[in-house]
Amino acid sequence: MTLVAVTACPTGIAHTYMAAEQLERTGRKLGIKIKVETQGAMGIENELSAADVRDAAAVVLAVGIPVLKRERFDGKKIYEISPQEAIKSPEALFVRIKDELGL
Amino acid sequence: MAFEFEFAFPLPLGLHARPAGVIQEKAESFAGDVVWENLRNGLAADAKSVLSLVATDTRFRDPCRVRIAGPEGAEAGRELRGLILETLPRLESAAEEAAPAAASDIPRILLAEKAVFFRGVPAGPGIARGAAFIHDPGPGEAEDRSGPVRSPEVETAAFRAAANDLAAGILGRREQSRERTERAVLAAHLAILRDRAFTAKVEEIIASGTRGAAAAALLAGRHFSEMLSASPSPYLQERMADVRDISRRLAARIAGPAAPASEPEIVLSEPVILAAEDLSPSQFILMDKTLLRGLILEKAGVTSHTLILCRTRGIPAMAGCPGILTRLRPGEAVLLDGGRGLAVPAPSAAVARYYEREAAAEEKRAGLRRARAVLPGRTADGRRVEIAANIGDPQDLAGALAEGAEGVGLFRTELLLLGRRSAPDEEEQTALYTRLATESGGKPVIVRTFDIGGDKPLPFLPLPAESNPFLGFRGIRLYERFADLILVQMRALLRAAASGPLKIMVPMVATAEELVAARGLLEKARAGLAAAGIPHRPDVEFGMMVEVPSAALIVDRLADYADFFSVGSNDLLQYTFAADRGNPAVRGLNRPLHPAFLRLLRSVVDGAHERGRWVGLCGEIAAESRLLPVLVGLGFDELSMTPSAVPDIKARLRTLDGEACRELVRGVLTSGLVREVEEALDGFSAAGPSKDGLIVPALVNLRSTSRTKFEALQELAALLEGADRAADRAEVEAALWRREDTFSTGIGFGMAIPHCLSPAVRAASVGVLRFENPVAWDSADGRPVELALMLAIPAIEKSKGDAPAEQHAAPAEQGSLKYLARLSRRLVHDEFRDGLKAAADAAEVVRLVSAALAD
Repeated sequence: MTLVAVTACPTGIAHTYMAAEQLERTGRKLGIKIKVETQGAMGIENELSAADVRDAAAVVLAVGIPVLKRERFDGKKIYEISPQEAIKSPEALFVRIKDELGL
Repeated sequence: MAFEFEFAFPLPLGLHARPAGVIQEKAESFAGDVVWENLRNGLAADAKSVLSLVATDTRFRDPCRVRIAGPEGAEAGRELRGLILETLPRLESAAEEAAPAAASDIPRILLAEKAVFFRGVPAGPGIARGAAFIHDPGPGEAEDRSGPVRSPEVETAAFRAAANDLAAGILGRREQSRERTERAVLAAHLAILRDRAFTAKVEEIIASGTRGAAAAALLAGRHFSEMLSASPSPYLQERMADVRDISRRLAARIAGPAAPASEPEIVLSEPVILAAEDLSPSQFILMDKTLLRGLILEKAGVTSHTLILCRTRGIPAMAGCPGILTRLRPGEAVLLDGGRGLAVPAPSAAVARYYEREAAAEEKRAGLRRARAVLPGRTADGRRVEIAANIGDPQDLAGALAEGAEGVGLFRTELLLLGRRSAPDEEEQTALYTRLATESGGKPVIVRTFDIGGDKPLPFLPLPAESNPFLGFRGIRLYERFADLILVQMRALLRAAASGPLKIMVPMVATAEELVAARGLLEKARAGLAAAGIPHRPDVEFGMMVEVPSAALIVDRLADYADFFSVGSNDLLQYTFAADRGNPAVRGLNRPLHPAFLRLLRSVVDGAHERGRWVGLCGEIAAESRLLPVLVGLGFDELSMTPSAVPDIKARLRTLDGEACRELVRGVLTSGLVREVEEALDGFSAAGPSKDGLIVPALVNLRSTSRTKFEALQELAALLEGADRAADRAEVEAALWRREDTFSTGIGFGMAIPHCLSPAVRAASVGVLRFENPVAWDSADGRPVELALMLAIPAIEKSKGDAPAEQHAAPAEQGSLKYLARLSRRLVHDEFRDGLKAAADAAEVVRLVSAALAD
């Protein structure tokens, strides 16, 4: 299973990157491939391509502000949480996704 | 022949008693009547009466007309116009300009503790604590203190004697006073006491035969204060207090010592916060202030003379808080936060503790400011750049030195000439320059000889009207025609230089011939002094301003006649681009970062250095922090600026690498577009703060005694300030709180990462606190916080249309943002957090964080 994610927070200097790191390392730990785009003070980095989104089983939005280019995810299954949640209990999120998608 | 002129009133605080006193004094020297008319409200005044002038309620930018009758009409008119438009704006004292800032954010702890507090207008910064002392002036003024009414002749004589007596007392006090503001206030009181309209009113009441002298003085005082109070202007309401103050003292004087005192004397027996409806300036001046910790005036506005006196003494104060008198209980403890305009009665232990820490941080800040003021201007790699101040009044010298100026790079002498009928003579000038030389404490003072011209007309220098004064007869170009005036100035400068390190600089030089002629004048002045046996310093350094491109291109040749150079960048810019800096349609052309201008500056610096001459810059761009790498890279030996910019520029200079600045300039000199230079400069600044600079031991406290989030954010802002990285501690604290407001930065795991983007942050920084006792932070997992790691980033304000300004990371901060993003990513790793929590000392924290940044 592969996932894509976007992280963003109000100031764009801390939670955006902490959440991204937490999602990536938890994915590695659980053997789930996840590509994370950050929308922080430095703008969009590691941007998700159309193919990335197309091939993903679901989209994780760990955001505290509106996401830029949200229309890319139209029609995809979206899990929207706060960046704090992504930092605090990332495993719970992955478990939930696995359960719901029956993987 | 009558003469009249119209103008917009130039003083932001309106026509109050002090400027009115200056105008009255000048008007008094003319034979004919002088009428002042405020065209906004139609009120007219006799300009020979201060009260009458003040009653016109003239405010900032009001259209006014002054009409002068009599033989001196035209000349007197020009003189008066110069006085109003040129001299008055410069006389407004520093204490007044230091208008209290807009009330900043209320410390969150007051809201959290549900503390009772009163808001007022900040009227004197600082934090004070004392017992509430409510000053109640008692029953209203007695109508008559002098017993039965005697004959008008006797009463008039009593009034005149008392007025003379009181005036003599005020004069004596003024002479003793060492404080400039106090002297000015006393002078204003004297002006009211001697005012023609006031005196006439008192004598008119006495002549009616119904009132004695004391009652007449009180009635006249009331008459004028009612007249003033009819105006909605808060400034006039303040002046009302001055009039009442004087009339009461006059009445008391007439009544004699046997009569009850007009105002009870204020006697303090413990440290107090004094609260009063209002306090007259005389009461303030006369009272013993040793136990006065703070002052709250319910009715006064910040321009009240009493509050101005208070500020110059450094006593915290607050004004304009109706109702506070009845709500403070005498004797209860009160905290006064003068900088924010807050008074907190009976503060809780937590609030008191917060403010104790605030006062300690403030004391530390003042100490660091003093310590930094004596640091020499130097880049991080040790290249010396002298940071000096531009001033025009010897009064400003002490303030400039206190800000850390290493000398005066430009003393403008033409201000001495404005508003005068004749040039100051040699003795007067010698005294003034000697004062500069002796009070500079051995630091160099560069005095620029008179820079006058068609745009600054003077009554004693008949100059033709010019269609284009900036390209006309000005600066050194006048020196041949007015050689006597310059000769006197040069003699005075040579004499004064005997007592301190003065240097002489001439303005507007375009050719070597002009410079040679000016040197000839200097030589003549020297020979004259030597022949007369007058003590002087013969070998004073003689330099020139570089303001004209023709001079900028031959600095190496001008060095034959000049010992040093200073670039006047304001004029050099507009002459280089042929764009009037006063004309909004074209002034945008004057871009200091344009490669053409940089090449011109390079030729000035190289030309001077080739000949072993020293070269500085004294225009407005010296104060622009953003341009500093370019000016340093060009190789200037000195930058001279407005005194208030000195601390920031010195702090930025300490972070720059001199060699990298040179490299930057070498790279952009061949550019063709200003945008290319700007991009290179932004790129340079972004690369500037190395990852090692983001955290230093001074930004780490592993034994924090902060007990609450309030104290922790306060301490982090203070750490940043202590490390020379915050321009405004309170603003950084408020910015950290604004971020906490969106959602708590407590990320769980016993950690919080407070952060902010703020223009008050000088350099991107990481700060770390480890708490002795874990602090509640509304964390995601509910656990208290053991460790707080702050990320602080400089920001710029961007406003889009009418939307409130948003703060964005400064473009130069992309590099630090990248490092901080890296650090944030590390924070979710347990071993990194555990390492920080267990660190033995600040050095280890710095090492761990730096390693994370380098990953």
